[in-house]
Amino acid sequence: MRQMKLSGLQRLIIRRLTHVIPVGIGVSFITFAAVNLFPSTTIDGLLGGNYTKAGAQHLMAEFNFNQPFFVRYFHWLLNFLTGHWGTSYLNNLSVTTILSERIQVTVELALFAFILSIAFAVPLTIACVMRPRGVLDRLTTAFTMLGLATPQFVLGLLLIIVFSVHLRLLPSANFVPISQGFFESLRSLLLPAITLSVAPFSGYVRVLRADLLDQLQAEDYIMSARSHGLSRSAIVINHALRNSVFGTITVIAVNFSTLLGGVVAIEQIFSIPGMGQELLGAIIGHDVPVVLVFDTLIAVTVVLVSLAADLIYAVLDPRIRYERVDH
Amino acid sequence: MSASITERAAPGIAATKPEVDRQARWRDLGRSAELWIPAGFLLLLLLACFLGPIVFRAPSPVQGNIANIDLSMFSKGHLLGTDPDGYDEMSRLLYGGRVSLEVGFGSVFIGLVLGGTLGALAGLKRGAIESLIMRFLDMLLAFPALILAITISSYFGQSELHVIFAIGLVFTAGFSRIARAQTLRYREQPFLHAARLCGTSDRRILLRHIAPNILPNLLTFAVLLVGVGIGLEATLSFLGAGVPPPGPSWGNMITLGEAYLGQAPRIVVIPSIALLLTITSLNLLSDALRSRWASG
Repeated sequence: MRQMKLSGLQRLIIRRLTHVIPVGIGVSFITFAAVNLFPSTTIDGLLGGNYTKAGAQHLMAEFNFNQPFFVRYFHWLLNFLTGHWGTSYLNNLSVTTILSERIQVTVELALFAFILSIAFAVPLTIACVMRPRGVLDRLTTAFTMLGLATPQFVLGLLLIIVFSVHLRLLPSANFVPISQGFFESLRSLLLPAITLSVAPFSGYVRVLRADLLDQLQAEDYIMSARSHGLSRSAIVINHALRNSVFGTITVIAVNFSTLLGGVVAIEQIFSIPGMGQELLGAIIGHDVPVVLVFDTLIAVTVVLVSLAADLIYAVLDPRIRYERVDH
Repeated sequence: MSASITERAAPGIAATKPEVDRQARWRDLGRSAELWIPAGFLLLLLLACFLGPIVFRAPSPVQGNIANIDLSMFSKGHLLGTDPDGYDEMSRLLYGGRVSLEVGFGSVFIGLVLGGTLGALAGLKRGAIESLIMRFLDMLLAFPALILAITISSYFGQSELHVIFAIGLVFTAGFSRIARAQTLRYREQPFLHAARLCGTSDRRILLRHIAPNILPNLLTFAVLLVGVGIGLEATLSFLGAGVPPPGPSWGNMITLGEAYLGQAPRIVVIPSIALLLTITSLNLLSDALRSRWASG
């Protein structure tokens, strides 16, 4: 049988998409299993001090906990795929409403943190590579070491102690939504965004620095550029940086997941009404429908981002398109 | 013998030799400092947390005294003061360190055994088994570590053991990726072909031939992840999904201090410094081990 002619890129997209679908379904199953294997925990959590046997049985019936596990899962999956995301156990709002209120805030925070981390990491790394093992380079290395070792919630609290309690420069709470002024909103998010950006910033600096130094030492085109009399800065910015992008894209894709995780703790500390705060409240308050939808959406987003990273490689580097990939 | 020849042939080289020696000695010293300073700190921490409270009869970390609320540092009988619940800070710091280390090492042990086995199996067997294992791990990796750990530990009921289990599961994916990549490197080596031709069982190949070769890489990664695990445990406890209060844990101590940031920042700062020093030491130790052991 004659096969359809597909370009390398199209074939790659199809191959990766066939991986995304089972992983997406698996992810929803893991979430469902973690949350639903023990319905009694949920019932106990929801009833708390008002636990009675009749009340528990009533809730079991109301939430269909009496049905077999797999029946419940497929029922839920079907509803999820058709957009019926259910209502919260705690406040009777529909999950869609809750999500639409919260998602904007989290996207703003995450985007702000991401831009901060990249905007500082790239120029600083270039400056470091100009003089490897110089003063700036050593200071930066020490800073990134600390940046990677500090848990984000600790950093957040320390920044609050310094900037809000002692210096009184920046607010530690009082989130201003973007509808009430762009710059006021950014100001209210500055401290949380800095907190979120330090760890990814450190990761980018480390990877990019190692990559740039590798390129500068080992590659022939650098030698050729140098023998043509190009300055070190021109070589780094125009030649080496381009070829070092791959490692950084990988780290950005991996960090995306860490960024979404960090949002949970950071939104809690700075009282930001975003998805992370809602998710934490839902997990601890046993609000099953919210947890299921949020966890699944977050995991699927992570999978899609890593798919996007793969495709960006393929666009940037034609060799990858035609390579036989095992996984 | 050869030294005397070079001396006669080129006196210049001989003259610079002590200089080179000294440099080499400094480099060696630097290399051992890189390894032993963090290792020494961690050893001291282990001793302080597990033996300290017994040797020095520290007050109980979960029994406060109303009369002793909010004592400042260096008070009599309370070296680091007491917190707003009247618990002794030093004692909570040491007992909390126990929890941190137990969770860090425990979760890494689970991840190492589970992930190492799955990864090595995937690399050795290939085919359908490999696809199945790797797809399952892709699913685990899709969740942000913190969110997966909070979800699991709170729905299984809060306890230190469940925190260890949750974080261990999160680590499994990372370990098995490394184990698989390393196993693939050894798969086609002559000694493995020889073992297979002798009819060695898969179990024996995994344990006697693959494991010793891939362990150094897995262990350097493990040291790094102990730090990550300690950070995750503190975050979980801080968010109220980890070790249930008033159990001593650095995360719980920080939660309590959060309400008193303005009045008594030390309640947050002391456990934070402990966390920072511990995690930094583990990171440095992992770096030092990698530069000694790891290949590729």
